[in-house]
Amino acid sequence: MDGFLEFMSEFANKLSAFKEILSAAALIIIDVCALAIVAFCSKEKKVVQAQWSRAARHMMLTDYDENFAFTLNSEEILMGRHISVDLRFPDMSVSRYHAMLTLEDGIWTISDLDSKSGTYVNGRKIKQIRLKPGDEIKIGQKTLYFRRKRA
Amino acid sequence: MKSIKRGNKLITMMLFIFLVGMGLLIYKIQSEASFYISRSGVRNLGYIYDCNGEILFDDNAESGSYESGHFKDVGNFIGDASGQMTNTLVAKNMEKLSNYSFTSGIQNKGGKAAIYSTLDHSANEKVYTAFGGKNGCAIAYNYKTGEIYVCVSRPSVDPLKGYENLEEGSLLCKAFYKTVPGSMQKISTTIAAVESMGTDELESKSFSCSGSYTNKTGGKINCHNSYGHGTQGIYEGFANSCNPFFAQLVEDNAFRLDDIIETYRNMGYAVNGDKESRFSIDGIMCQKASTDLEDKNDFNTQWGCMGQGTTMVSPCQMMMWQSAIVNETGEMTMPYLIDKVTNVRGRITEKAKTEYSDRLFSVTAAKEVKDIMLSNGENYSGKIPGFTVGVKSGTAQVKNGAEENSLLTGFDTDPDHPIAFCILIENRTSGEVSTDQIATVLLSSIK
Amino acid sequence: MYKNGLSYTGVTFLTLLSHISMLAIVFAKGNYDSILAPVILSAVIIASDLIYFFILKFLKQNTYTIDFLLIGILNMSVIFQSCFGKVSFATKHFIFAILALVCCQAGFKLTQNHRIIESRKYIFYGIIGVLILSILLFTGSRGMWIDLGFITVQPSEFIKPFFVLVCATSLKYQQNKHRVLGIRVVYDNWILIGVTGVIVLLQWWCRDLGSLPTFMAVAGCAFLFRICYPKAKLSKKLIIGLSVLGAAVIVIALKFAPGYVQERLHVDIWSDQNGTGWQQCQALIAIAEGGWFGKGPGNGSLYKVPAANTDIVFEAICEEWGLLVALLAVFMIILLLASSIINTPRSYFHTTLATGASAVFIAQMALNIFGSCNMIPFTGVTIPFISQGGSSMMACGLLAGFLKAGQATVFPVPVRPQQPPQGYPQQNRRVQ
Repeated sequence: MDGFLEFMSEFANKLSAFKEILSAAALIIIDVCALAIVAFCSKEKKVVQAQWSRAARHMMLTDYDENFAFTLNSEEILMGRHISVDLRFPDMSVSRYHAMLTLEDGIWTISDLDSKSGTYVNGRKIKQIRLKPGDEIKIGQKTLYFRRKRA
Repeated sequence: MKSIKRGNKLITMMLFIFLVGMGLLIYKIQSEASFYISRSGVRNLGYIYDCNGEILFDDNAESGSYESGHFKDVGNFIGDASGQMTNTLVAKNMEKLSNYSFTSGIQNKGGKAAIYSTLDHSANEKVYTAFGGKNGCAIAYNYKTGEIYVCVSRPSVDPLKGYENLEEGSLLCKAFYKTVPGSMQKISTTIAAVESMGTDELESKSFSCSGSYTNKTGGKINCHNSYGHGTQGIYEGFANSCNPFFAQLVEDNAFRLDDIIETYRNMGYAVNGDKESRFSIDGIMCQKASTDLEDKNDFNTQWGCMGQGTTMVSPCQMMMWQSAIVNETGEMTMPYLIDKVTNVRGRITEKAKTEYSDRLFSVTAAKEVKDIMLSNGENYSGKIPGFTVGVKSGTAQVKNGAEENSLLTGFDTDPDHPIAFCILIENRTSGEVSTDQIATVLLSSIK
Repeated sequence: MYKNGLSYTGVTFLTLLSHISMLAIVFAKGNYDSILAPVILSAVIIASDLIYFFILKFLKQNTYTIDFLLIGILNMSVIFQSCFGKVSFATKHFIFAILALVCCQAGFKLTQNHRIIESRKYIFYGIIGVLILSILLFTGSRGMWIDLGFITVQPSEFIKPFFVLVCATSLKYQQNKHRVLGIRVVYDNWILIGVTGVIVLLQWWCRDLGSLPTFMAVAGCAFLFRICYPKAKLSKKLIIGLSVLGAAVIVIALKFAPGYVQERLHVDIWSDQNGTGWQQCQALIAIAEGGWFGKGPGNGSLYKVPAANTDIVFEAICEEWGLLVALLAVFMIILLLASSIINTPRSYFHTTLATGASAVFIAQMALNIFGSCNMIPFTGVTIPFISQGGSSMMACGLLAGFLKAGQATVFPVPVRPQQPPQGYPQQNRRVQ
């Protein structure tokens, strides 16, 4: 034990000759370490994305009229005319906050938010319903299809 | 995704504000670090030099390394780092003297932080000695560039000898504090008269003096010459410093009180209880002037225009007005003490520049008053031999008339020797050292 | 290999290396009587690092960013706290660092599934109520601590994470409206306003004015998240415009405010250097003495000043380690928050939670650092994870757990996946 401590104090003496270099090196190492961890974030993002896609069952909303597809990327998706909603339709037939899609335990549900013109799924006016792939959703005069994303 | 991005934006915004704050903090620390160090116990302060390289301040001085009284002439004005005096060059500029930089830390040896002042130590010592046993102050500067050469205030203090058993008034430099100006005030009143009625009308006025004058409200203004001066114009009245002359001038219908007040205010007086402002000479705070003027037929107001009553002017301010007069611009040359400052590595970080004030009064007034003062100065050719000066003397009654202070302000017109000055001797009785003797010493010792 | 399938060898190595490099500075520049002190410190730091990394391997989560950053920051702060005045070992701080990590895990587990939280929100209102009551009953009107004999607890610190928790909301929860006097209201929002009001009054009563801006920042974020839904009369542009205008008005008002107001705001600490301004003056002098690279661990003199390891800890680190290291420590905490911008949460609830937690961290750091450097009024708050103080460490651990919950959620996948109806793509395709 004593021998080890002696060795350590000799080691410390030798180290103190490189004070400035050590300080600079420590700064750089801590810096690199912090940045490396955060850089790892983007790798993890892919993992999370993959997990999410599995949980969300690779679903998306498509609108053939305007040829666009909206990937369902978060647990709650608000649809409507207001500027703050996630999926926006600048169409007067759509209410400001019209309907909301929610994911719970791998099941997507659509619920109507007391909209003026109502929400229709496969032609039926609904208040809240579980969605199946291939369902046709009508919001105001907009028709959307709930379907699986192709790999 | 939009609603989730909103959260991201909010976090980004908060982080951004915080980072801006951190940036400001680093900047603040960088720029103020020398100040912090100057307030700590581990500081190392550099020297203050005079214009010839003589040391005026040495924080590490021991008794014996300088001859006795070396610092006494400038003691209460250069000051020291002990914190006993707060309105001194060292106390106000401690961070400039600090041998420290944020990168290299405190340097105990070989630090080159210093202040190179404009003062002339040998001239200061001569003027200080010329006062003999009298108290008072003298201040002189170059009215073209603004360099202060001499600033002496007696009684003074020797920082090396400590702060025990000091005379009253030792710890402040009287040149920067207001005092009763006496007849020197007639300069301001004459300027106001030119501004109000113009040169021609002022020169056409004449008033008679029979030793005393009873004004319109019944107040009696006495002249120092009890036999009277007879009928005088402005030149004679100014030269005689005739009180009845100025009382009648103030009462004159062409001279409006509003004009006096306006001119005074422009010159820096706090009239009738205005908030008093001060100015700074390299950090040293200096008082300006104040007076009360209510009714121009009233005894007190007339006395106020002649430098008694509630009128107060600081000698430094009086000296600065001389520059506005002698330069014939109506703008004061702003005085400064610090010629240049070097940092710990010897690099010059500050260099003084000549600056001018706003216009205080018109060029016409400056020219007219310069003529009047020069004409008065001719009477001094015997008292201040060898110099062409424009001057005005004053005698101020203080402590309810128990003591009389003797004052003199003026300028040297020689373009190679552009000195404006103001001298105060406290409680002078006849036969003692006079202001013109000190002026002679002062003018001849500044090269 | 960690549970998410990524290899963290490089990050583990770097984190360890950054601690070792700091320990090398302690050996080289430190002030110690016997070599034993830095040896013990090094042994504990490195051993605890290794143990933490080992435990991490068994945690089933998607991301480990927060954990690695937290381990990095916490052991860094143990080194800082161990060196004030003389190299020793800050046992108390080390224990609280472990507790903070445990709390982080607890906070993560607690908030991972937000539906459970939202259906039982009353529990958290209850906890806040109990904490408020404990302050009212035990601390007295001018105090903040409850003395339990062997330890002192600061209940107001614990209110912070729970307040952040009740401030979080999902969009669905905001649709849960009730009709009161013809206006559709969300009960929860009104309860929240009430709770905010009670907390503000309480802080005022305790004279704990340092915590007030923190709560106001959290409540402000919560408010911003709620007014966009469901009745959004205020658009984003309007909010930004109004806040810019407000800031401009404040700046102009301050510039032209009468002298006595400005004097109140900017206390001249240097005019009373040996009186009320002593602590701050010493702190600022310490920064200046430290310079960029510091005097070396244990060589500082600021540890003699009261609250050197809590309220003016930033300056104490500046003095011993240099401004650059102190800035790096702050930078690590900023990265902790920034990681939730890079790896965004998937639900509105976790977004609001992460924003609330960030607001607490940023407000605390700003109040502490800018306050002690005399840029804003000085209030005694702590820097998360860096300052000593058990209550604060544990509360911040919980908040870090909330941040982690946003990134590291394990999403439940249905056990029996639904089969899509056969041939639906052809059936539904409409060709233009």
